[in-house]
Amino acid sequence: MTNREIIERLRKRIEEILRQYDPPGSRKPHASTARSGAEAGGGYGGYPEVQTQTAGRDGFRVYTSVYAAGANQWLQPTPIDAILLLAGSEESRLAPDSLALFLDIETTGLSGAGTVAFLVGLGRWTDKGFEIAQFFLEDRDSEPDMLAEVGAQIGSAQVLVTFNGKPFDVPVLQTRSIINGMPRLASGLESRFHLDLYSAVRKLGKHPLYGMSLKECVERFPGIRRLHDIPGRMIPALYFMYERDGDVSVLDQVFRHNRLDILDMVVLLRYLHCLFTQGYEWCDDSCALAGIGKFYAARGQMEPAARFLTAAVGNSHRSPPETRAAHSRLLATVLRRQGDWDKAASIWKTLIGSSQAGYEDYLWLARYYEVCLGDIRTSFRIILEYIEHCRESGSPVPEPVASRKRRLARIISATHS
Amino acid sequence: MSGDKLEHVLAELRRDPRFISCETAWHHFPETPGSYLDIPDGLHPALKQALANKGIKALYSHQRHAYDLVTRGENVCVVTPTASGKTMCYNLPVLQAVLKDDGIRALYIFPTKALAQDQLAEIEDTAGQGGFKVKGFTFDGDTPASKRRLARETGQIIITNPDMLHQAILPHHPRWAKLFSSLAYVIVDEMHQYRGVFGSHVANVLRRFKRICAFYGTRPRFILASATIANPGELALGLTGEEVTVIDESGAPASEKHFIFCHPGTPDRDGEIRHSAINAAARIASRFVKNGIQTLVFARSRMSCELLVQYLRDAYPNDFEKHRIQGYRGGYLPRERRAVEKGIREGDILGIAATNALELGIDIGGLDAVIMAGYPGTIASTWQQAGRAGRKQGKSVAILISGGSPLDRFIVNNPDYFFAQTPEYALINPDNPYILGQHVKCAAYELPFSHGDGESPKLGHTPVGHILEHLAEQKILHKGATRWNWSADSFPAAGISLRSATNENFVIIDTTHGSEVIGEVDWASAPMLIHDQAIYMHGGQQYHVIKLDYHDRKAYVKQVDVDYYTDANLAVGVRVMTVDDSYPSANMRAGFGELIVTALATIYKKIKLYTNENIGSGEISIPEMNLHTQGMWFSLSEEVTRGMDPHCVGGVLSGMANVLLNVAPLFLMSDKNDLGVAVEVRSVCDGRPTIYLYDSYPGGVGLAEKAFRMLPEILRASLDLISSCPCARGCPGCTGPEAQVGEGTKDLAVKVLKSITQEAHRDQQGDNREA
Ligand SMILES: [Zn+2]
Repeated sequence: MTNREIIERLRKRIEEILRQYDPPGSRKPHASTARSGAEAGGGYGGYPEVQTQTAGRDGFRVYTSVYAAGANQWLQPTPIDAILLLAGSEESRLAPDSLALFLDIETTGLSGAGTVAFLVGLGRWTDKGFEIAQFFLEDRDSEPDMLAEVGAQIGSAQVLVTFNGKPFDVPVLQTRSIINGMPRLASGLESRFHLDLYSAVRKLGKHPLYGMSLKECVERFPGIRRLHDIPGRMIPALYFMYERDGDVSVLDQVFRHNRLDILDMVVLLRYLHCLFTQGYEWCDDSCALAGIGKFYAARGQMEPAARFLTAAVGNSHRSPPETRAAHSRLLATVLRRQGDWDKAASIWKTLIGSSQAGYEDYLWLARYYEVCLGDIRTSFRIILEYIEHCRESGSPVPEPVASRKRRLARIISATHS
Repeated sequence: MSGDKLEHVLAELRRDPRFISCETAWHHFPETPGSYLDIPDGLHPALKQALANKGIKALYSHQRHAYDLVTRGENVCVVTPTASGKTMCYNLPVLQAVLKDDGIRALYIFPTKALAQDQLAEIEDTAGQGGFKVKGFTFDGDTPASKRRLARETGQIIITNPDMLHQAILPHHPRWAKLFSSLAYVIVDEMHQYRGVFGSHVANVLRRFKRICAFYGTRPRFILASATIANPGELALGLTGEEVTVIDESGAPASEKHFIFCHPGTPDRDGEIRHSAINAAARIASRFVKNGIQTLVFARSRMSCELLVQYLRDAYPNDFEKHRIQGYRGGYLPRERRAVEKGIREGDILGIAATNALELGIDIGGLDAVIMAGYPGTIASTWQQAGRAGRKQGKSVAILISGGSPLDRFIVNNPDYFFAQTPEYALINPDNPYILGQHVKCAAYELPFSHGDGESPKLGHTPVGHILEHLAEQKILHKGATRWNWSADSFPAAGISLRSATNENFVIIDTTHGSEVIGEVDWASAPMLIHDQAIYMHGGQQYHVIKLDYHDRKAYVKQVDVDYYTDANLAVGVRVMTVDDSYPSANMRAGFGELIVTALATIYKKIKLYTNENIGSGEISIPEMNLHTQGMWFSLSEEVTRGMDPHCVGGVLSGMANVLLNVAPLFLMSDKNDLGVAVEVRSVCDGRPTIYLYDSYPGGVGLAEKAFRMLPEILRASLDLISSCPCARGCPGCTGPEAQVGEGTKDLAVKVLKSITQEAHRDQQGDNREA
C-alpha cells in the first residue's frame, strides 16, 4: 500500500468514526449537584446516558449513570463463557448468569504505597442498561469506608473485567487496603476471577499506527475514537487541586474520562468476543487473525486455530513475506496436528517454492513423503536439495538435517542390498 | 612447607640492607589458640548435622555468644577480624529460628550485590549440608520480575542492599506485607561501610524501615557485623536506633604473623621518595612469588592493579606459567572474578593484584603474603586487607608500603598510631537536615504522618513537624483533617541517592570513547575539582575537564596523560552561625557550631608533578558557593603568636591547616574530601588567628563535631606528623613547601603546636629535671 492509499484509508475511517459522535456543540452545561448528570440525554462518544443519580455517604460519594444497551453497535452485554474464553481459562466454570463487574480507577500517581485511588468506577449490566457507579473519595480520611464498599461490590461479582488491571488497578486497591488495615480485602481482590483485556489485546499483535492503550485499542478495533478527553497524566494534579480548593467541578473531565474508560472496556470486550469467535469471516487484520490462531493452537483447539490462520494467510498479501511465511508455517503445523498432512504438505511446498522456507519446512516435507506416502527417494531428494542450498550459501548443515540424511541413506542402501 | 619458604624469604629481607633502610616497623604476632565453646544443646538437629558435615565440632566463643544473645532477644553487633567466622554469628540464629517456625522471615542487608550472591550461596550450602530447605532470595536491580514476585511471596530470607530497600521495598511495602508482618531478624553486615553521607542516609532508611515494621506489628532484632572501629556500639545505635550489645572478643585462633611497614625507598633531604609504591610492591611480591608463596598485592586504583599484574608477570621466571599471575578488580565480569577466586582457593594462582574489590568478605581462603601498595585509607580496611594473609596453620606476612600521600607517610613513619592506638571513629549524622528532609519525604509517601494528637510527628526519635510544614508549603503534602497526605504526582525515592547529601551533585561524563558517566562530584567540591580545564583524578586516571556545564550539573572530561595537576585558588570565607559548644584552654579557644562557608574559585594554577613548578594558570568562572554545614575551630591566644612576624602568621595557619586535614582521617574514618579547612589571620569573632575545620557535605555528617571532641589528640598527631617528616623546611607532606607558605613555617608551626598541646610546657619541665 502506498502512503497515499494509507492516508486515504485513514481519512475515510476518521470520517466514519466522526459520524458516530454528536457534534461538539451539543455539550450541555453541568448541573451542580449531579456530576454525571451533565451528560444526561445528550451524551458523548456514542454513549448516550439515560439516567443518572447521585448518593452521598460519609466522606465519599457515589455517582451513578445508566446507558441504554444498543445505543452503540458494540454496547451490548457479552456472555460469561466468552469472558472465560478470552481469559484463556477452561477449568473455571461459571454460571451463565454470573455477574461481571468492569473496574477502572483514577489515582494520584503511578503505583506505590503513597498512591491513592480517589475515584473507583464499577460498571455492570442491569435490566435498565449498563450502569456505572463512581465512588469518589471526597476526604482521604474516609478511604477505609470507601474501600470497604468497593470491596463489597467486587466481592458480590463473580468476574472482574479490567484493562491493565492485573498489574495496576487491582494492586493499587490491594495496597490501599493493606495500608488501611484491611488485609482480608486485599486477599479477596487477589482471588477474584479476573479478565485483563490488555492481555487479550496483546495476543493480537502490535499495529503500526496504534499503541496499546485502551483508547487506541478501541480506535483500532471497533473503530471508535474518543474526543475531548483529558490526558491521563493530568489527572493527579486535578485531584490535588480539588483537595486544596474544595471545588469538585475541576474533576468533571476526570469523571467522564473514567466512565469512558469503562464503556470502552464494554465495547472492546464485545468486539473481542465477536473477533475471537467469527473474526475469520470478516476481519482483514492478518496480524490479529494470526494471533487468535496461535491462541487457539496453544489451547489445543485446532479447528478454530486452522480457521483463523487460514484467514490470516488469506489476508496477508500486504504483509512482509517473512510474516506471511510465519503465518503459513503455523497453519501447516496446525493442519498437521489435525491430521491433514496433504494440506500441510502443500503449504511446505509453497514455502519452499517461495524461498521463504527454513530447514524445518524441508524436514517436515521430507517426513511427509517418507511417512505418509512411503516415498523414500523423494524424501531423500528434498533433504539433498536443502543441503545443496547450504553448500551454495556456505552455511553449515543443521544437525537434524544431517542426521535425517544419514538415516534415509541407510534405509535406501538397505533396500538395495 | 610454605611456612619454611616464607621464613626463608623473610630472612632474606632481614639481611637486605636496602629493604631494612626503608622498613619502619616489623611486628611479630605469635600464634594464638582459639577460644571455643560447645555447640548449643538446643540447636536444631538439622543445623547440628550441617555443622558436623562441615567438620565443625565447636563454635568460636564469639559465635556462641552471638547465638545466645540473639536467642535471648537482644540486638548484637559482632566486631571481629577478617576470617573469624562472622557470618556464622548471624546465620546460625536465623536458620535456627526459620527451622523452628517456617513462617519467620529475615532480611539481610549488604552494601554490594556481589556479597549478596556469596551470602546466598553460603546459606544454601549450610542448608544442603543439613538436609533442609530454606527459601532464600537475593533482591537487587538484576532480579527478574518473576523472581521478585516469588521472593515477596515465599522468601524466608531476603538478601538485598540499602539502595533497594530505599527505592524498591519501602515505597512498595504493601507488596512486601508478608515479609514485614513476619520479620524477626535484620542482618546488617559490613556496618563500618555505613558512615559519612552514605551512613547518614542508611540510618534514615532504617528509621523508615522500622516505621513500616511497626505498622505491620513487628519489631525485628538487629544483628550487625563490622570491621574494627573505635565506636561500634555508637554507630550501631545511630544506624538502628536500638541498644546493641557489642561482641568484640574474637574466639577464632590466629596463626603466626609478621606485619611490616616500609617506605618504597629512602627519603632524601627534601622529604621526597623517588620510588613508587607500585614498583616497590612488585619488587617485594616477586620475591615471594618466585619462591612459590601465594601473594596478594592490593593496589589503590584499577590502573595500578593492571600495572602490578604486568610487573609481576614480567618478573615471573616460568614463561609457561604466566597465567599463575592474575588481576582482580571492579570492571571484570562476574564469571572472570569467580574463576580467579577459585584459582586462588585452589592454589593454581600464585600472584594476585587486586583493588579493594577483593577486600569485602569474598571467599578466597587465606594467603601466605599480603602486600598493600599504599595505605588503604583507613585503619579498619588496612586490618581487613592484612587479614587476607593467614592460613589455619603456618606463618603469614602482611606488608604495608607507603604511597605518595602525607597520611601514607605519616602512618608508616609513626607505626604506633596504627598498632597501639584505637582505630578510627565511623561517624554519621542522621539528623543532617538535608538528608533527614529527603527521607521524611519518602516516609510521608510510604505512610502518612498523623497530626493533631498533641505530639509532634517523628522519624526515629527526631521530631519532623517543621519539615512536614515545609513540604506542605511546597505542595508536596496536604494537611488533611488527621494526616499529612501525599499530594504530588511523583515517587520521592527515585530522586534520592543514598550516596550524596543533596541531589545537586555534578555528574562526570567521560567523552573519550563516546559518553560514559564515570562518577559524581559533590556540589561543594565542584569549583576546586572540575572547573573548566581542570585535571580531574578518578580511579588513578587523569581526566581533562573540557567543559563544565554548571547549570545542568555536568562536567565533560577526556582521558589524558599529562605531567601536571591543577590547583584552584579558592577565596574562602567563614561565618559562624551558632556556637553550640566551646572551651578555653591555656593557649587557645576551641568551638563547635554551624557555619556558612562561602567559596569563590578565582584562578587555577597548573603545577608540575614532583617538582611542583608553576607552569601556567587560568581563570575560573563559577558562581560563589555557599555551604551551610557543621564546623569546629580554634583560635590562638596572643601568647602563642607573640613576637611572630605578622606576615608569617598566615603561612603558619595554612601549614597547620594542611597538616590537620591530613591527620584527621586517622581519627575520623573519612576521606580527605569529606573535610574542608579555612584560616583567618584575624577572625571576625575575636580578632585572633583562627583555623576552621568543617564537614564538606551540606549539614555535616558528624566529622567536625568529633574533631572538636578529639582536638587535643588531633593536634598531637599533627605535631608528630611535622616532627617526623624528614624534610628540612616543609614539604607537601607536612606544612607545605617553603616557597608556598613562607620561610621558617615548619619550625614556627612546630612551636605553635607545642604551645597549644602543652608539649612546650612538658619540654621545659624535662629540661629542668635534666638541669
Ligand atoms: Zn615535610
